[in-house]
Amino acid sequence: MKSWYQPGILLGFLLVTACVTINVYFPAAEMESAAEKIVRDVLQEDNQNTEPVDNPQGFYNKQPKSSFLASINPLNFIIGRAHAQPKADITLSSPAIDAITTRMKQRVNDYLRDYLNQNVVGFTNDGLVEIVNIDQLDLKQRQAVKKVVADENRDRIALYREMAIANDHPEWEDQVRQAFVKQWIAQAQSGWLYQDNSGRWVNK
Amino acid sequence: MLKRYQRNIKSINKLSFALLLLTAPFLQAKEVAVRLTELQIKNQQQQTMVNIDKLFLAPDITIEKIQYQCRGAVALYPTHHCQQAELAFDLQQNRLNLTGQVFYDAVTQLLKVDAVDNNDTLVLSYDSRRQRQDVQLKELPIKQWLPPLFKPIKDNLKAIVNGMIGVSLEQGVIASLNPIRFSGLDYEHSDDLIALGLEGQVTFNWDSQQQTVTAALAIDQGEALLQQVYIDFFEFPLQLSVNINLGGDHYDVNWQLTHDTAFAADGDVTFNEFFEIGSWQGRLEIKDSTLFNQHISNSVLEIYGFSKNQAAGGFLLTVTGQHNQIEHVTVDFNDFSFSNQKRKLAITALNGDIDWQWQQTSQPSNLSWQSLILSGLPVSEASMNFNLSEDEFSLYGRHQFPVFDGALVIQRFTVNDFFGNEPAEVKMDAEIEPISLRPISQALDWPELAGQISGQLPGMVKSGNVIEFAGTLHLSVFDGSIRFKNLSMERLFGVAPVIAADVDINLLDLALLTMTYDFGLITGRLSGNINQLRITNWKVDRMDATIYSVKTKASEQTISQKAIENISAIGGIKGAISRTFLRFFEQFKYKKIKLSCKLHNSVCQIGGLNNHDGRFTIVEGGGLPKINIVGFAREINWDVFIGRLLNASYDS
Repeated sequence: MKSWYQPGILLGFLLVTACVTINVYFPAAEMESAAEKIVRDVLQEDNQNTEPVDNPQGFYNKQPKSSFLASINPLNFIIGRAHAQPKADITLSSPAIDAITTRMKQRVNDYLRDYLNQNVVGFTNDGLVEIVNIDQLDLKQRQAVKKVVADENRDRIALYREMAIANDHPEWEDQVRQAFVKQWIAQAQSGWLYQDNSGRWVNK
Repeated sequence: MLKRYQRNIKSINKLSFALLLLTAPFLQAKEVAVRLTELQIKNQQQQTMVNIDKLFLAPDITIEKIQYQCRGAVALYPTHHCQQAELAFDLQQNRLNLTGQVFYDAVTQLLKVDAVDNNDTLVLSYDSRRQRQDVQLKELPIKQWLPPLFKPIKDNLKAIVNGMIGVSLEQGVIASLNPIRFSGLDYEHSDDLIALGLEGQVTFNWDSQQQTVTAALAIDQGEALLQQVYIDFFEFPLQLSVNINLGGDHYDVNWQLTHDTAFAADGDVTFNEFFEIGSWQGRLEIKDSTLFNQHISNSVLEIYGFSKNQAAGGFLLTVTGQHNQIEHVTVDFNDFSFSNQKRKLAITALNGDIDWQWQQTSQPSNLSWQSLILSGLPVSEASMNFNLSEDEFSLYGRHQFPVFDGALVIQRFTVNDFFGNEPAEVKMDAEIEPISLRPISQALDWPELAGQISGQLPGMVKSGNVIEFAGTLHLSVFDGSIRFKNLSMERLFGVAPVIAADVDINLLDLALLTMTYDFGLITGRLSGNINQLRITNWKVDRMDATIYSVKTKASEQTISQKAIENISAIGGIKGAISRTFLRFFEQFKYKKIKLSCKLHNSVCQIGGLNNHDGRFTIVEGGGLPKINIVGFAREINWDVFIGRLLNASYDS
């Protein structure tokens, strides 16, 4: 009795497994972790010079900087290793990304943190910054804020693009931006303004 | 005694003295139709009183609730002389209370009033023999006295004025007699359309019959923010004059704004009765760009990422439009120079005209310059003729732009739809006539290169910040060639500018290459490719590169001791050969050289021949003595690698 359907099951199994669909997913969790690290770095209060420390190993760079990020992807625990995507190594650094984030960090310490503390500027729901309320500033400062905001937004747009390119997927730019939106808001200090999904400004 | 009248002024002869008493400060009425309502006159023992409910003087001027009062029993006829007269009335919803002396002679029709308001801000001097009556303004808050014309901005405007104005009621003219000093002028339309603490002088003339206002302001204190433009009037005093005509249902406004030396601007604009903008035109002549840039344009350009700009010379800009639509723009450059060191952008002695029209074919435009620097690369004296109509740009005919000893030759260049959201459609047919690489490498602060660059660029697509070129750039260097394909540029004048390309390297003469950089002689030929090369901020950011020697009949393959030492030094080994017996050999034969580098994230995944088990061969020796250079580390920090490579060649 068993003998006839066993080959059938086997055949069916082979047919199913023979249909291979390759889906490439945006590694949301990994990118968020990467965004989390960059945002933390940029918003970090730091009066020290942010020159990169020389690698004591010198010539050899043995440890890829971001490999741990893939290992903390919660999807791996839920889905199981057999069906999970290949580990995504998100690149956090490139000459462009480093140049941009260094400037952003400097800008946060020089101007932007004060503007955020005073609720002059807030984080928008599309990953940029925007002037919310400048009536407390004198006129020259109001113009200065416009420059800071324009510079910051140019850097942020370039950062999202360079993050996507550094990870070999220029088409991920929008998703990278979304990952950053969450992180700017998540890491905003208490009292800072951010824009919710409906476009309303709210204090964190 | 109480009488009530409500009739035309000409019919009340008996009471005309009292009426004139009231109306004369405002109107020497002969032909003008003046209408009043609710006249009351009381002449009692203690006081003389005249009350009028409403007095219509002109379409815009109605005086209400007029009360004239003189203490004591004072004769009204034939002469009336009051030492302590009080006059109160509502004008433009303001209650004005005046006290002073009044003299009236009914026979000679002479009326004299000298009065001052309760706040001591208005001093009135009236004499019916004069055509013009004088009002002195003393620290007067102007807000409530602005004519109805200023209604749209009245609520957000305040200022204090001092000076003398003359009122000619017969002509319906109010004008400044000498420049009126104003201070504390604040106007706030929005957070970034605002003026604070303005001070200066104003002369004006308001003709209520002709319905015109002319005013000239000289502002020498205070500050203003007009969206992106910040002006400190102490450092950059301006003169503004305005001429407003109320022609029926619309306003015609003519204005001039000037600085003594930096610029002069003027324009005309028409508003409808709801203050909506109609047709308009403006003209801006920059006479001294250095001063204008220092105080105005530099801080605006900073917002667009161009800071620390230098400018000289001048230009004339004219703009006309309807409603919010710009219809016609012309620019006439006059020895204009501009530079921005950070963006490596400069132009000197720019002359010529640009014409742009909307929904029309524009006049031909022409620009010429003495020198132009784009991203650090200089273009010598040249001119260009083009047409700029609507959202189309087209270059007229063949243009040659000299660059060092060669040129960029553009046969055809058109851009369509450059205002659109879609990628602009660019048609281009350009070539680079051979340019020496040595001055280019010097200009860009690169290691010195010998040879020439030439190429064909048959097309170009601009999409957002990315410009992609079709065609190939051809570098003739070291007796071989390097070809750049899939060339693109991104944010060329913006944040972290990028140049990307795929590169083919074909049979470079290694002897010439190594001699140029004093690396140590290697003979033979070198080919290879650099795929997905991406140069960011003028530094190599990403690439997948492989270079290898190619055996040819014409060339021998040798490598000098010095070259071996330098290749070894890149790996951190000093004196690889000099400490062995091989130091007695000047050069060695090699069979093959190969080096690959996949650069990503500042780390170069390095390789060569026979890559396995973390080791690879860079140089495979041939003949005797045979010498191989073998690498063991597969990942190399790019900056360290380049540092050692440059040190090796420069130290030598």
